[in-house]
Parts: sequence; C-alpha cells; structure tokens
Amino acid sequence: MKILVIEDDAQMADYVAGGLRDLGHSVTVAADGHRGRALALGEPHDLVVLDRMLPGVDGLDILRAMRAAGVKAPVIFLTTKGGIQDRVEGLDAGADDYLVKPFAFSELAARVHALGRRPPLPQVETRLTVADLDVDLISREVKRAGKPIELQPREFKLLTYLMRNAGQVVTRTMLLEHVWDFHFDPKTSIVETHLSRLRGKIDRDFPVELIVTVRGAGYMIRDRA
Amino acid sequence: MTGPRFVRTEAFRLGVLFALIFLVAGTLLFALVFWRVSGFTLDQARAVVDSDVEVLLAEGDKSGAAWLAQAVDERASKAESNSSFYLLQAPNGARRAGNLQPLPAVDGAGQMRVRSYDEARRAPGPETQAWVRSVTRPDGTLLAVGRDLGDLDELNRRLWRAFVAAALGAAVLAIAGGALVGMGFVARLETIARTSETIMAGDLGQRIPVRGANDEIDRLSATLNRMLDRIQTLMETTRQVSNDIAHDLRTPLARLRQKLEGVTLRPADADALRATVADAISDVDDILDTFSALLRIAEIEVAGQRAGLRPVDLSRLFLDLAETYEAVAEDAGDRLTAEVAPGVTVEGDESLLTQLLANLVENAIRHCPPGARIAMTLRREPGAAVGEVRDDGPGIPQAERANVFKRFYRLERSRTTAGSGLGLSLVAAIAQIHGASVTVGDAAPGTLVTLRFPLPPERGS
Repeated sequence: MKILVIEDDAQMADYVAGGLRDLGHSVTVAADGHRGRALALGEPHDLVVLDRMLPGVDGLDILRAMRAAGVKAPVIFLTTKGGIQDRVEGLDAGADDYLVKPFAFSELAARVHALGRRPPLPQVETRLTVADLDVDLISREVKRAGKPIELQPREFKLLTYLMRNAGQVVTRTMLLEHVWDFHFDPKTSIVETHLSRLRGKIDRDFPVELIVTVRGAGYMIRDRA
Repeated sequence: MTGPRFVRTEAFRLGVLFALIFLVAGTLLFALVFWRVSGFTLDQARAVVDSDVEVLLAEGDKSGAAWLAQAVDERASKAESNSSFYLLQAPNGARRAGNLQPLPAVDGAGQMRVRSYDEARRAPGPETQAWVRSVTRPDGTLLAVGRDLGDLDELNRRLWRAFVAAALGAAVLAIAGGALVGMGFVARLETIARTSETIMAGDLGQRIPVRGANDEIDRLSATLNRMLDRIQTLMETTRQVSNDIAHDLRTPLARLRQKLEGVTLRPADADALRATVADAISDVDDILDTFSALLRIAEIEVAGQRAGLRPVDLSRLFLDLAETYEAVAEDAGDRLTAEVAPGVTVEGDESLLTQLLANLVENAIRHCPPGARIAMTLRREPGAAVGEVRDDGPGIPQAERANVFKRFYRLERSRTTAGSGLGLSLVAAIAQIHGASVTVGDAAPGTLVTLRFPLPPERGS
C-alpha cells in the first residue's frame, strides 16, 4: 500500500515508517503539517497515518481539509490524548480509526491492515463464510460443517468481527473497542475469557482450529484451513 | 508620583468633589438670600418714599409753597439720625428746606450718593447711599424724598463675611473628611496588598482580616479569602497527587530498572533476553496505564458539566456488563448474577458509565477469593435510579470506606496485588459529573457499593 505518515516527531516517524516499510508498504513521511496537508491533498494514498498534534497545525484541520476536498483514503489518527472528547472529535472529523500514543507497533500494523483491506463501499452482508464456518446475519444462525452452534450474543458479535477481518490479526484493543465498545483497558481478562469460550464452541469438536492466537499481536480467524 | 497616597484615592477625590458641589450650592443659596434681602429693603424704602412724596405733593398743591417748606423742615427734623431725607429746592438750585444738600434738578427715582445737611450746625453732614425720588412741582421747585440705604450696605457686608467664613469652613471640613476617609480606605487596601504579598511569598495559610462591618471591603476580603481557601485546597490536592505519583511510580520503575540491570550483569541466551524484554514492556505498559488513569481522572474532573450528556439506557448497560463479566467471574471461580429493572434511563455519557460499572465489577472479581457471589442490581426508587454491586468477599473495614475513593489509595492487604489504586477515584470522578452519589457500605459480609443517580420526578416512559 502507498501510505502517508504525517508526524513531526522524527523518532516516532522513523518507528512507524520503518515498521510499515518492513511490512512491504511504500511510505512517505511528512514532517510538518503544511507539507502533510499538501501531500494528503495533492497525491493519492491508500492510507494516511495522521498525528493529532503537529506544530502550528491541528491534525484535525488537515483531516477536515482532506474530507472537504473529497479525499476518501482511510485515516488513522494518532493522539497522545486518550480522552473521550478527543476520540469523538477525530471520528466526527472523518477519521476511520484512532490510536493513543504510546502504542505497540503490532497494534498499528493490525489496524493499517484492517483498513487497507476494507472494501471501498460497505456492501450489505447477509451471511459470512470462513472455511466451513457459516454465519447467517439475519437469522443469527451459526453452522460449522453444517452442524448448528449455539452462541451467546456477545460471542456472536465477537465471531462476526473476527470473520469480517478473516486472515488478519485483530488486537485485543480492537476487539474491546468494536465488540464491547470499551474505550479503556479493563483489568480483567474479558477478551481472553470470551475468546476461549468461543473457541470451545467453534473449534473443539473439529479437527482444524480456525481461531488462532498470534503471539504478541492478537487473534485471527484463518480464512484458509 | 505626586502628593501623599491618600490624595490619589477615590475617597479623597470624592471629598474634594463634594466640597466643590457644596460651595456651588452655598453660593447659590447666598445669592438668593442676598437678592431677596436687598430687594425687600429697597422695596420698603421705595414704598415709604413714594407715599411721603404723594402726601407732600398733594398737601403742597392744596396749602401752598410756604406750607410745604415748613412741612419738609418738620419732617426732616423728625427724621432720626439721618435715616430719611427731605429736600425742597428752588428753581435756581438753592436749598429752601430739608436736610439734604441740593440735588440735580432731574425728575426720577433711584439709588444715589447724597450728602445730608445738618440744620442744627448749619453745615453739610456725611455722605451716604440712599433711595431718592425727585419731582418738579408746577412752580418749578424740586421736591425730593429719600431713604438711607446705609443699613443695607452693612447687611450686605455682613452676609458676605458670613458666607466666606462658612464656605472656607465647609471646604476645609470636606477636604479633611475626604482625606480621613481616603486614608482609612488606603490603610485597608494596604492590608489586603500586604497580605497578598505574604501569600505570594509562599505563606498560603494567610488570610485577609475582615472587620465584621459587612461593608464592600469586608465582602471583597471575604471573597478573596474564599478564593484563597479554594486555591489552597487545589494546591494541596496537586501536591498530594504529585507525591503519590512520585511514590507509586518509583516502585515499578525501580523494579523495571532491576530487571534490565540483571540482564546486563548475567550472560543470557536470546530466549531469556526476549522474555526479559517482554517482561519489561509489560512493566512499562503498567506504568503507562497508571498515567492514562491519572490523565483520565484529570480530564473528567476538568470536563465537569462540559461533557455532553445524553440519555443512556442504564438497564441495557447493566445487562450488557453482566453478560460480559458472568464469564469472567466464572473463570475466576465466582458467580455473578444481575437483577435489573427494565427501562431505567439516566442523562449521562455511556462510555464513562460503562467504565464506572466495569471498574466496580472488576474490583469485586479481583478482590474476592474464588467462590464469591457477586450481585449487580438496578432498581428505581422515588427520585433516583439506584445501582448496586455487592459481593460476599472480605469487605472494606468501616474506617477505610471513606478513603477508598482517594487517588492511589489501596487497602493494606491489596498492596501486593496488581492495580494502580486509581479505579475507585475514577468511579468517584465519573459519578460526580453525573450528579450521582457513590457510597461504600457493608454487605455483611462483603462490600456493597451503591450508586444513586437523581431522576427528575416526572418521567414519561
């Protein structure tokens, strides 16, 4: 992917750009807001990683300018302020995702990946299929190899989120945000507990494990058995 | 600057201004009195003169010139100490009768200087100011009658002297009064300034003295003192928090340092190194967690009422969290149950309320030994939505219940378990911006945390 990183802190920019290049992306770094705005508006990118606090310019203004100019590239907002107000402002201005500094690179990588693979127009889905796992989103029926599986509402939500991101790593934080709408770090193992239960229902009676733990990064549902 | 300080005070300026206004008012009053008194005296003189002239003329016409001369002399001699003047003057300007020296032979009336004539000594008397009316008779003689106005002059002089003395006295009093009030005012402001200097120099405990008169300066002093109280409280909170941060972050940082130092001191293989680094990252994450929690509390406290509150379905929120934490509790060997009244809605921030409730439930799970029973309840009471999280764990000693909402406060027995000691501070901060109360009680045995959200009395549902 062609990724634009707008970040004034050289060390942070190197960290992000270097990591993304290692993953095979083509990365341009803009070290200040004015150059960043010019690049974001002037050249097409597949994704923009945008720092909220830039010297002289608010990242929000760049984001608004991009959306006003019709630039549809997904934007990941980086912010040092984890406040609710901050998050809401970013998402309202048209950001697709946000990440609070400091973050693990694996977290950013997972989110970049998830956004990069997102279909340009969300199509109306009625069923999700991964390998021999089949989910009907209308009747909320879950079947694996034709055998019905009973899921709790939260487990159903967890499974569908994993399936929509099949083949990609989703982090614990991404799951907390999207499945539980938790924008804080719980002190108990909510994600682990529920995933383990989901796995028990999805994988236990079958020879191939679909849901896997990616060490140090998160979880993934395999799109190929 | 110029002059003593009180000269530059508002009170002194007001004093001078009032002195001036007083002077102007006094002058007007004096002018009025002066005008009325002189006018009255003149009017009287004129009336007497006119009546005398009419009588003498009428009698003169009837009884003849000789009688008139006699009448004039008679009246002149009766006039006491030259207060009235009479004159009958021949057409050639010679005095024929009366006590006045000859006058110009012109008809008319008015004030003029006249010289009296002393019949007894046959010599001119002193000159004086008088009201005089002169009339030429048909035979060419001039009849003049006058009244001495010397008394009026004297009256005017006295009035003027009294006025000057009164005006000077009033001005001196007004200025002195202004200066006195001004000096008192300055002295009190100086006290406020001195106290402020002391406070700025570092003695935050100082307060501005209040006289108890409940005047403007007292009220100002009281307001300033209340502001100082507030600032002192905030300063102490800040100092407390900084101390707490320094203390509570030093321990994990020291642990982290030890770990990293251990790696440099001992030869280790790649796997052991990787494990230590992973361990170190997890330590750093814990420290960052503490920071986020602190920032979050600060943000919530600062945001206060500014946070946009929207209706939140508290019943659904309780049920959602119960569903999420039932599994977690079960894994921990506990049992979590929920009893939730339907359709309870409060004005709030859903994300914050979720965190509040999650913190309470997680506290119960983490601080109870396996086998505990945890109950979440939500019910509606008159005027309030009441949420409870109750467990049958070890509970919190009565003496410590008020402290658990303080930042970094941890019960002695939980010092060794993970956690920043900020969870309940966050709960308190979130409850506060929702206008809700949160209390810790005894579930006998165990802990009972009660949340009470005020509800408007009339609710359409």
